[in-house]
Amino acid sequence: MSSDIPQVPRPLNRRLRAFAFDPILSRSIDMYEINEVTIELPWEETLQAGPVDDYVEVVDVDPASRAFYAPADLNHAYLLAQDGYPPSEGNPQFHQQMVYAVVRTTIGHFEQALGRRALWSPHLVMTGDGWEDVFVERLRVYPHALREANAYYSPAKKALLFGYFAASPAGGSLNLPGETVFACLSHDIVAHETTHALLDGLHRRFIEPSNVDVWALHEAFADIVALFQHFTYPEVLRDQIARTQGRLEDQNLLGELAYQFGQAIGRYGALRSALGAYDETGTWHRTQPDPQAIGRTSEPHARGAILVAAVFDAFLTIYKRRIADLLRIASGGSGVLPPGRLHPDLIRRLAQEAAKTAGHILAICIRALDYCPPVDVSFGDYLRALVTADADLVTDDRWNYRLALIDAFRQHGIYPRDVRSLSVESLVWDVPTGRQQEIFRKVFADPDRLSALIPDWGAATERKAIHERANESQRQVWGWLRRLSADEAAEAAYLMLDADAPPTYYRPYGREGVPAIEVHSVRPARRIGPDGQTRTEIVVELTQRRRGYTNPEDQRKADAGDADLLSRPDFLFRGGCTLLVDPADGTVRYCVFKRIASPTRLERQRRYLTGNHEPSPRSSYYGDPRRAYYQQLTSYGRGEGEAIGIEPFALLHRSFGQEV
Amino acid sequence: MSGETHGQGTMAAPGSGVTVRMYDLHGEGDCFLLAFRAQDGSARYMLIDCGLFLGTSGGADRLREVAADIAQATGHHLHVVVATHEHWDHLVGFEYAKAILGSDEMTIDEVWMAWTEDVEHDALAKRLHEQHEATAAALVAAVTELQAQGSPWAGPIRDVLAYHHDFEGALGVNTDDLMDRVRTELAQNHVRYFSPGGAPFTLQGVPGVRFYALGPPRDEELLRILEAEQALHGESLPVGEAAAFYAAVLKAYSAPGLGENERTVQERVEKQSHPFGEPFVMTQQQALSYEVEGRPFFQEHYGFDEGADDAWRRIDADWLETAGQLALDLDEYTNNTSLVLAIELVDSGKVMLFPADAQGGNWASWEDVSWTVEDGCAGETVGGLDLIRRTAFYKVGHHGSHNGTLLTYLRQMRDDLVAMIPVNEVWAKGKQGWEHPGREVFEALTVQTGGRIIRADTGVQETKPPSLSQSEWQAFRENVKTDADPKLWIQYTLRGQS
Repeated sequence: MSSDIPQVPRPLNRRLRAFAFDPILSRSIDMYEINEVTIELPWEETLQAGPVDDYVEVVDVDPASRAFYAPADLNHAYLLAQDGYPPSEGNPQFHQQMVYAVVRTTIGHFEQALGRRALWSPHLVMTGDGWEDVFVERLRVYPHALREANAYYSPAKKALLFGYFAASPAGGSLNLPGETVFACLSHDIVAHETTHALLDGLHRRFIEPSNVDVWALHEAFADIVALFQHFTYPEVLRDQIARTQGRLEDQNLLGELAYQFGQAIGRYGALRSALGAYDETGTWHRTQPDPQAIGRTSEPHARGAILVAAVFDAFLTIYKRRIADLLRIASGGSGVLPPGRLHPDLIRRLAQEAAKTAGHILAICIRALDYCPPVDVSFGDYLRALVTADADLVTDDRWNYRLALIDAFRQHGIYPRDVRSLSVESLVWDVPTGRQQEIFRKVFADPDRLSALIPDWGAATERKAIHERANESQRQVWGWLRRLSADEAAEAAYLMLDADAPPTYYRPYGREGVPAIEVHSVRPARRIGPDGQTRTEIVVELTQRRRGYTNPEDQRKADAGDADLLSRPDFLFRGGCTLLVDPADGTVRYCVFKRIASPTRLERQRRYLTGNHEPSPRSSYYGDPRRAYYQQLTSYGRGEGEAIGIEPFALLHRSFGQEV
Repeated sequence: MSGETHGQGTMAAPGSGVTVRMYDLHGEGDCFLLAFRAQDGSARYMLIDCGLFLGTSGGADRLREVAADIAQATGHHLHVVVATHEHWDHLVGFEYAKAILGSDEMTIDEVWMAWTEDVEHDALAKRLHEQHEATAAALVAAVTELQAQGSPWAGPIRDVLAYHHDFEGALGVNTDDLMDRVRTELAQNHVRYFSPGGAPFTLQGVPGVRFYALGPPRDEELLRILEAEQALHGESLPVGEAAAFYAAVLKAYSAPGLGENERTVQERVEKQSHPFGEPFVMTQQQALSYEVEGRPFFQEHYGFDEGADDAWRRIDADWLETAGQLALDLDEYTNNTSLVLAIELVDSGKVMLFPADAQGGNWASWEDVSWTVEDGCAGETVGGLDLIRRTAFYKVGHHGSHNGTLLTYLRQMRDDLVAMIPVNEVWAKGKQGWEHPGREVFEALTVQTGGRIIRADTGVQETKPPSLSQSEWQAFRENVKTDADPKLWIQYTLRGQS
């Protein structure tokens, strides 16, 4: 008889409670009601105590207190019945729950925008045969790792480390002096750090500081995801909009919301000032964009904040367009709302539009990653990637997202190099010429073999299997590339395959002759646009590298064959291209390249690394973090030193200005 | 040269003005010998610091050579020894060369120190000292652990702490004790402590010279008080961020050299800084055997063995890396306790500035200091900035590093300024990767002095700088004198005539 009873259907979602803002902020009566959110995650059957699942393992070790905290078991019946632990600063299991929920949500947005599973960057090990990629299944999360006001992603340990610290006695009015503030309880910080990890998984080379934009872009991207993800919670928006009472035209409130980002934690000072400030009357005003600012800002957070402000401006522009009709309806055509509280229906609709717009912007920003060059990325490259990715997918740009982005970037002084104008057509990446396509057809000849390159990266496949298949595909493509002559490779893909290239070009491990090509990545890009149009293509990234020297004289000598110099480069100079290949016929629709043979780009990187950075006690004693990063990289490659070395993100947060 | 007189020493005191001799230590350190002419025609000598970065090869011998020269130059009689602050590169000579400087033949009349050294009578000085001890002990323990864990931070942080701590253990004395020895053994307890303001000081028999102490400021804020302060005195006040860090380090890694009283306080701070209540905390012992659903959670997901597969993902020492910033804070604090002296030649009004290693916080306080000068019947008020504006000679702070000179003050000094930099650029860059002198500072100095710069490593430049006329350059060169063979020193005489 019991076999006839139908099985209980598996739930679609798991609900977990979390703080929407830093809990310190919720102490103020105003914020209390909206500070709790319930995060919905797809039901993971494999979730264990920790929480630990396929993507993430939360391991609560607190070395500074020499303590360990018991792992939370979210499958406990009592917890399932009440959407997890109730928000509590004093309960470490709640911290584990919250950090897990926010990390998973962030991963979810990423996967949805990209249309494929997210992988973490592999653990690189130096073996007798060269570098080996070891698959990393789970991102490790340490909610109470540090006893300081900091949080960072460690590319070396594939881990997120969060700190806790006492609020300073002279701190903001909302802090009780001496209270412990936990970075892991700040929704924005957790999302920000997770994004660093996700971006690292996709573009491993984006943590190499080859130009002034690279680290800034990492920071900006992490801020963008955290910020717009925050805006996708309508309950938070509803509350903010409800306070408006007739100030809708200014749209200050959303900026002000962004402003509160990380306030109690004391971070994101640069972002906050880029967005706006409070005047003497306590009213918050959006900062006017200054196109000259980017020319004089090189510090990564401050520079990144300019990019975030630009994206935020684009968001506001579109949001205003989308609610224009609602305002007309609500004001009877005058556009001016009557004084007093807004109608709850109106609030709900406005919040919906804001959340929707935020979701779209988030998706565009994430999709653009597939249209970036594999190395040496710049803000200008990112703008072109944004426009191309969106143009590629959304044919009917009814709300003019692309123009809004271009215009906002222009106002902040962000321009790509070498474009004729700032129209959408000019900014879309260049399509390869006829001759280039002919050459590419030699590589991507067989459509059947092409499709086999990208098997299913969907939810049904195990990520380890995806990693292994991807490695295989990379090997395949590498084999196909050898069909090209040096001239052809240079013409179509801007690669250097001359056997007599200077010895500074790296050759395949232990060999001589033609410079090495790394097929850095082969992956599918599959998405669905708002009008239902589906497109799949193959993203192939190729890179090469060359030894670089801070002294031009050393460069000349090394190029000529100086063995001693060749064994100890000052930095790595990389080039390569991202190809977007149509699997139906092997056409390369875009080739986004960085020329390895370009002497100007090499000189630019050299000048950047030796340039006059602002002196500080920190850099006087500990040296420039950019140079230090390369030193670590090159010495590990030689077999000296530990791979676990300089943490670029810990460094970024500690060296570049103490934020208050 | 007219009117030079010789005491019993070989170093001449000028007829008017002061001669400053900078010793070349083949490394970085401060050692300055000043000669003044007394009313009776004899010479009076003042030694400002005698030290070298600890561990510099050949350093001890070099310092002894220098000390021997000092003894000869002064005829075995130093009227004043100034010990500016507790860093080896200003002090260690007093240890290495104690046989010479502390010998029976040598007479040292008195030693001058900053009020921050007066632990016996000054309550604030005493508190600062205790705090300083705890902080230094914690940081040394942290860096030792970082080194054991193979962190790349261990080396650079050690280098910063090495200004103050003896990692090799070769000396057998710490900076605190050494200051004490200078006080007791070298100067027979004839010590004078200086605080900014009040009335300027004059040396007996040398009325034409006045000494002003510009710093260190008595303001705790400006000395960058290390946060542990509040929790130190038995009140259960909130524990600051840095304090929580120090307490954790001291608990985890037993730090030697910490007094009993200090230890109790740190234990209390440590208890208060745990983020969660007792019931939630598991020790490592408990974690080793903790199981959930029949599996040992921490064994599996963290691991405790050295050679385990995922040992590379552990974070046992990552929290210690914040010691990097804190070590810089400690260094800045100690530098800011520097005794800053301005020496005024009364007739001409020219001032010589010796700021030791004072950094921003110390410099910034000078504009608020003033002295009342009794000159005949009327008392005149002199402010810190007045002295700056009349500065004709500047001993560049902290080896010309970026944080040792406040550029806004530098630009207000006289335009016939002469600068002396106790720097060894090659050593700094090669050995430690440090930028001494800092680019920005050196450029500003070149502009302000027109090129009248005397460096310990390269002396004076060969050719006349473009900004000076032939006669100006000539006048400058005439007042510079270099030691013969072996080249131990280079000196400059600041003339008293306007």
